[in-house]
Amino acid sequence: MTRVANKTNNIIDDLAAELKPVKVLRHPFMRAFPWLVFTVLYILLGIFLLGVRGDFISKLNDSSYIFEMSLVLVMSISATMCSLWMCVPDMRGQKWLVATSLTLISVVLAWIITQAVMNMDHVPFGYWSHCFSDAVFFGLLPAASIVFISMKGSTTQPYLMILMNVIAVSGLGYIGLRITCASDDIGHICVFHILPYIALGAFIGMIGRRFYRW
Amino acid sequence: MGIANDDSQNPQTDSWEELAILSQSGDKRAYRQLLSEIAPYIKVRISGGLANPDWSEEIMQEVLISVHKSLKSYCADRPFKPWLNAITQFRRTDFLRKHYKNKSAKEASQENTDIFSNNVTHDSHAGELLDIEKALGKIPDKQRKIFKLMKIEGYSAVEVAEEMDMSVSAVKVSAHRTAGKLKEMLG
Repeated sequence: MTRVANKTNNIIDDLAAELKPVKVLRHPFMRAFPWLVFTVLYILLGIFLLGVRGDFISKLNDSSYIFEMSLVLVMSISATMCSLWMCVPDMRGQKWLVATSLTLISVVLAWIITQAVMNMDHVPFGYWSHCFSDAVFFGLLPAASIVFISMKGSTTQPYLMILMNVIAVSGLGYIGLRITCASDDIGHICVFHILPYIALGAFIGMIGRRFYRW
Repeated sequence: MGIANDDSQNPQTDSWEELAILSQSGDKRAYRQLLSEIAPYIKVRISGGLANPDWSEEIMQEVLISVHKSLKSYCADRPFKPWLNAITQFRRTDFLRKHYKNKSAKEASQENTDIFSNNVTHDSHAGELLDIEKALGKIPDKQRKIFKLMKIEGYSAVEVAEEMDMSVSAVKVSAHRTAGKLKEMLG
């Protein structure tokens, strides 16, 4: 035991000897805001390149469409905030952000499942849609950037942070797809707008723990 | 804050918040005091419910290294203890998860804990060197090289850091982690 205690003292000595002034992590909001701005601009660029759906103006009068978009946007912003707060070990005491985000994710899932149960008449498997590649386009760079930003922190909840990262990216990507794709078919939405992000989430989930190791 | 920079040569018994802030600005004395003061606190926090009391010392060392690595994430306007407790809990869970993931370690922990204090030259440990070599073979190349240079060939952390083109801190952390991994693998 004495040997182990000496080792602890040695570690303390080593760590103290190596100490250099550190640049304190900026406030999570100040780290989340630039990412949100970057991602929104990136998605606007994607919308500009891919083109807005033909009936977009009329869709703005569709309360169901507006509700869906607003809900997903709020969920995405909430997940972004949660992700960046999780970069601090104790989340700066803002643990309610996790509950808020999970609640919003549950509401969105409930909304999608309800739509699927009520309106899905077929599952569009067996053919390729450009929406799949568009979803990858909308998601890839924002996902890489939020993972990079999150790596700068020291999370104590790596898996939950991966989930929040994926939800943040998926939400904004989903909005981009709903603005560019004219299809309101819930089968198409589930397979080509949501499935790519589930795949992205599974992929990041498998490798993400390595990114957030510290 | 109550502490001027010129007082840092002789820090009094300050709050951990103040010591952490001083540490962030590079005050080594304050940092040493902080680490020395939090070490027993961490040990008390983690020791309850551990199958092997020796683990608490190991986990405490992991927590101290984690505090060092995440010092930048401490916010001056927040209390220190919740930040430290979050790291402590995370490292404790991480340690136990890794330990019980290793089936042989799990089996060993159910036996008499005295086995851990046996001398390596004990008769029943014949061939242990081969086991160590085998376990070392499972460690990634870079980590193995660092461990061998430091712990077997006796180079200093500074020399290994120069050789590997890494920081001294990273080399020490790597060697410490490899030692932990080997300990787990060897039960």
